[in-house]
Amino acid sequence: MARFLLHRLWQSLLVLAVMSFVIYGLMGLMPGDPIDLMISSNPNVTSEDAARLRSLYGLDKPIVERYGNWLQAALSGDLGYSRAYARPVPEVLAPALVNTLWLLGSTLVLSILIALPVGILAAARPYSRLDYTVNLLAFAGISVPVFWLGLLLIMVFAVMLGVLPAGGTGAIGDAGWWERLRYLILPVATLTLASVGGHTRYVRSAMIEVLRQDYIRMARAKGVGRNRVLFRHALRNALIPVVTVLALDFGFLFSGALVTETIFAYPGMGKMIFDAIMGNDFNLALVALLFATLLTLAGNLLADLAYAWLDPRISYR
Amino acid sequence: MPRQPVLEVRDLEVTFASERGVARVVDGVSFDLAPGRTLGLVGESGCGKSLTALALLGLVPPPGQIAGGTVRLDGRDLLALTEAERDAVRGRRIAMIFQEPMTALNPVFTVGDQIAEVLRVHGGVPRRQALETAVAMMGRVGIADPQARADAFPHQLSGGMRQRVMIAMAMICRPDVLIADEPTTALDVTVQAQILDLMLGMQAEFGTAILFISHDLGVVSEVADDVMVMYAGRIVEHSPATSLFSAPLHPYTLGLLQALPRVDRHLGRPPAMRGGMPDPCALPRGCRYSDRCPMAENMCRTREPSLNGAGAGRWVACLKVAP
Repeated sequence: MARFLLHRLWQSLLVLAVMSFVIYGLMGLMPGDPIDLMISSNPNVTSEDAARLRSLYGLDKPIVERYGNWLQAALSGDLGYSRAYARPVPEVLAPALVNTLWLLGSTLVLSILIALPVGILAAARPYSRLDYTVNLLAFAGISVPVFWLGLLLIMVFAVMLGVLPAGGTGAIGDAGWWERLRYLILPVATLTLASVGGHTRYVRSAMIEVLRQDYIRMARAKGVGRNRVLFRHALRNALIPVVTVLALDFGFLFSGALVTETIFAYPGMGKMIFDAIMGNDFNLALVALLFATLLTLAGNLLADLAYAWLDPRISYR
Repeated sequence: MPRQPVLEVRDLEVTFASERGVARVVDGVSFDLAPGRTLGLVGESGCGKSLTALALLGLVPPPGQIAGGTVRLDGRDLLALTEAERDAVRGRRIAMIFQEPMTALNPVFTVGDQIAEVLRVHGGVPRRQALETAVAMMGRVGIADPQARADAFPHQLSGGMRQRVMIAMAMICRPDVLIADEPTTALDVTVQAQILDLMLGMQAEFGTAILFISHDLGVVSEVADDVMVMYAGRIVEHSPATSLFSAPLHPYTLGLLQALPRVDRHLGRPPAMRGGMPDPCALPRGCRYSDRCPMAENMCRTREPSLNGAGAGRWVACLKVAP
């Protein structure tokens, strides 16, 4: 087990290193560099000045060498300055990371808390009226576009009822947990409604598949009651495929919450990455994208560990 | 002198509703099970053997349902009980062993846990004590080093070992009735014999009544006291094992026996029975076997025979044998 973990960590590190080069390369391919931006804001810079600045900043060197320099600096803890914020990247990134973890953590937890019981109940009586209702709602949730759902919620709860804020993360300074929570409700509701349908469908189909197995019939023949069979014998088996989906979703949600964060003016990672790329904020975009990669890798690693815990047939050596 | 039956099944009916109509896949099955005796139930695949077994426990999978009949255990009709009351009977008074020991054990729990669970759901034995009894039972069914094996997961055991685990699971509450649905079909021949010996040994010790379901007449002839032959949902012959195998009454039984390869007579390939099991939604008129029966006459295609006494404790459903 420890060897497996070490192996996987090493693998993840390798992927991260490769991804950092790919992202760095793609950033380098983007039109414009910092000097271009300087020129556009100051018409007095001559092309000789520009060339001098480029060699001064090392921008005339080949990309592999530039990447090497960046990596050396990054490994020694220097992630650079954000051009747009004029502050070190970690300082800019940290609050956005915290906001996103709140948003996505709540969404994931809420979605699982709803999807598990509902999916299990639907699977316990497949093709019943309850099951049809659950499926209908799940498909509705999957099909509804996030931007439309978000706007609708803002319309109803912020504009018409006026009970919840339309966006942002609350007042500056410590406003208490309830004030913070109020700003989370609508974006979390939007993301949850969009993801819970898919999760419910996964739980349902995994449970139906398991409930067909011989060992479920055997458990019933042993005299184990219906509920114990559902929640003990079947669920443990059904969780194995469900965990995969959730782990992959984690990475996806992390960078894929852009639309929701934009609609609710929520200062999270999705919006920050988007703004950083649009604003040629190279350092910030680079590090933020690497973080997204890191979280996706972490999600996968967690899923692997969860497999071993759930399924004794899987052993890692 | 037959003893008082522990299980009395009367007119059991299982139906499946489909777009093509209602199929009566178990149709009017009646029999008694006496303590310490083994009743064989034989027939081709799809004749309704396994559904009969599941119906006894009230476990017919949907969309199938039990449409009628009674299953009396010590006089109490199990089919009239609530689901919770049936849960208390299943595994404790009536236990079941399934065909595939690989798929019938839950892959994510240790076999010790799975055996102990029977004790824990019936009688609420505490975890540790239940596990100790389970380990003792594993020893009884011939599992070497039961203490260590109890912590094994099903995939770590061989097929024969898993079937022993199933038997331990079935017998741990000393049930009055054991339903064994093709218990040896998935096993090697040598392991088959060991498992059969084990089951018969347990039966002798606990006085369990066994309903032994198999399509393998050879195995049934070794274990059964009486044998029922099932065809298209109905019992067509019910006889003591010795007379059934030496002098079958129903043409279908005869066909089955002739299809068996024998080592003591002619060599070569035994004749295969012609045709196949009729579609349960479109049964032939009259006797259900009439379209495959070499002896069928016109009356067989108009009148359906009922299971009639043929003397010497034998019953047969054939117009030509017992009109």
